[in-house]
Amino acid sequence: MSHVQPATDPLVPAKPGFAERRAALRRGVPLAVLILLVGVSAIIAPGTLSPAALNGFISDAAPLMILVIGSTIPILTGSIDLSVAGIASITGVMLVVLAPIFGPWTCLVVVLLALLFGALQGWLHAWLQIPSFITTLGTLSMLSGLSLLLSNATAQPLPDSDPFINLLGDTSFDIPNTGFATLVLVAVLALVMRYTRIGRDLFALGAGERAALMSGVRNVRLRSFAFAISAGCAALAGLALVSVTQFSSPTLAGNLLLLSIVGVVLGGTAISGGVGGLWAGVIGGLITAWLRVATVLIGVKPTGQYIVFGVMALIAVFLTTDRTKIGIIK
Amino acid sequence: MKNMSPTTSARISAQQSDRSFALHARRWLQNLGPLGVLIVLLLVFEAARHNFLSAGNLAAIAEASAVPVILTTGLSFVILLGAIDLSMEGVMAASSMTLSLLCANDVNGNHWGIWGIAAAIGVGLAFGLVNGLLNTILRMPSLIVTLGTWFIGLGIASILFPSQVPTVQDHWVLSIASTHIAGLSLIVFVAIMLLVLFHLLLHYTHLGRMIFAVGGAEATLVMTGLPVPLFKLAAFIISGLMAGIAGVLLSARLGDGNANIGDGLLFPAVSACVLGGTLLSGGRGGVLPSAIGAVVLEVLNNGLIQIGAGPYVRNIISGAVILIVVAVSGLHLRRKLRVVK
Repeated sequence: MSHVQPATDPLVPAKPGFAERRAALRRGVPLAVLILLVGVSAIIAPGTLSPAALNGFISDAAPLMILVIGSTIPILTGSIDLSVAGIASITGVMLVVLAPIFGPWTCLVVVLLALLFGALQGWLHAWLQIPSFITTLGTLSMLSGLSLLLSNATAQPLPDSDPFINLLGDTSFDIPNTGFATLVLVAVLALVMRYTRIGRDLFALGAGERAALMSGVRNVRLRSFAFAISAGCAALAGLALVSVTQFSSPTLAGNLLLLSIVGVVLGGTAISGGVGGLWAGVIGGLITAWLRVATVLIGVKPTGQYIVFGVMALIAVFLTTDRTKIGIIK
Repeated sequence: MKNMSPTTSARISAQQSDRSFALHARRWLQNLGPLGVLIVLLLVFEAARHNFLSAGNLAAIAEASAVPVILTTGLSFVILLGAIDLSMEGVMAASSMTLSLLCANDVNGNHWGIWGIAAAIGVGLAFGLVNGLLNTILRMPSLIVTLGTWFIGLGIASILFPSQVPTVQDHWVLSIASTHIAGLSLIVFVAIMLLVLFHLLLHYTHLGRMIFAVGGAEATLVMTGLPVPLFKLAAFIISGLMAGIAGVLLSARLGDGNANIGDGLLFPAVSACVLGGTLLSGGRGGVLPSAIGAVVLEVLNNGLIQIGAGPYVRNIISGAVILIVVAVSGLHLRRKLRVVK
């Protein structure tokens, strides 16, 4: 079909298949990078692929993966959620604070609260038309203050009777359950993104917001949904984190703000919206988690990793941002 | 019947003058609102705690406001463009470590004296330059660029960090914080000087006017053929420079180099700008309004602590302030098809 069209339609690009090639490249390159990374680190340190090391990797990577997958959704619509790390941090604190009231249901309540908070945040952003970065920067500030206030700035042990946390912290078939939780989450979200109208609308909103609005996409509702998912994922990530440490700390996930964004962009999801998806989020999350292992292998100080991730984020954004869509770059 | 048309025209002109009166009122409110809030806050806290307006407490507020005012002065330039600079915490960390390792200290034998201060400020300048270049030449959104450099700055600071906290022993650096004139340290005077300097730069030079213009209508400005990237670059450099200076001043006050020195200063700085009336959409505001916003936040902070609210309430309040002010100031712009990302 596209071979016939160009004669009549001047808008079709001169090189047929260029867009497809570019899209294939966008999908293929992150995967190649991941394989290359794993390969190189396996050569440098063969122990990294041993079952024990891989299990360690899974429980280290799972919270990050969940966080990245959640952050992907608002970024697909062209917005950004900077509050995810704050939500992940406050999850543990809330767990301790709410445990006496809700008993074994605390985890559920905390995730529901996060979903609600995210929805409120998305609604504020879309209905009041406040830029998403400033909305979530504001809530991030509030969340970090709140978690310091609630926990009195101290790390506290988790209530050890919580069934959900114990389940997450456990292993089945010698593999950490957080890994399975990540898989389930990805599967559910993938079904939603692929087979429901919500999923299609999210892409439409990111690809061309005005056109989407004119064709009846419900902007406010959809953005509330996107931010609810990212906050809910952040809460799950927080649960996964505390299931490993068994301690809640008000600054537990402080350094994950950058990593979650880095994960999204490294997978090939464009910060300008509409391009990418869950698969990109999974690959990006894996690359980021593996990079964290690799930097330790080469001997970069844990805090020095910030440089690596900052530079990686800049390179990935440079390569994936669709500048024609933004117009004026602020 | 005869004088129908004059009355109509009179009514129209009355309406017009009404509208222009409303416009004037709004502009005055925008300009003087933050100052009014400041005065009200001072009076309220004075009523609650009777020694709030004492010279000692006012000096404490001035000391606390000095660094935030410097930061908002730099940040205002970038926000006036309609862009954002999130990197200041990282820049301050890098500049603080640079200062404490190059000036006389207890970790290595360096003794660069005043050149150490210059190098630390230079680090801030370099960060601003990189931010600006990435934004203008490589055409990447400032939000994500400065998010990246924020963490790069933190990373550089932690790599520079030696096995122990480097204590600054340089006479020049320490005297910035220890020299007091009229009960106020030099830091306050540096802040006031920078504020006046950059206020003049913003309102009485070509560069300043162009920065307002970029924020107001960048597309139009690009079409005029003016070197728009240069103006944006200048704004980012000024912002980096201010963060570098802030890093030096904070290290001087603390007496050591610290990678966490800028922690928690970004949110209050952004909300101070917004609170003062420097709109995030660009083109409106200035360094003086932003500085007033910064002082308001410090007064609020000081007052809340005196009333007995804990120190963490500060984050919650500055977060809420950002949201409320941005929502209210953008309320009249709401449209069905407006795209806000």
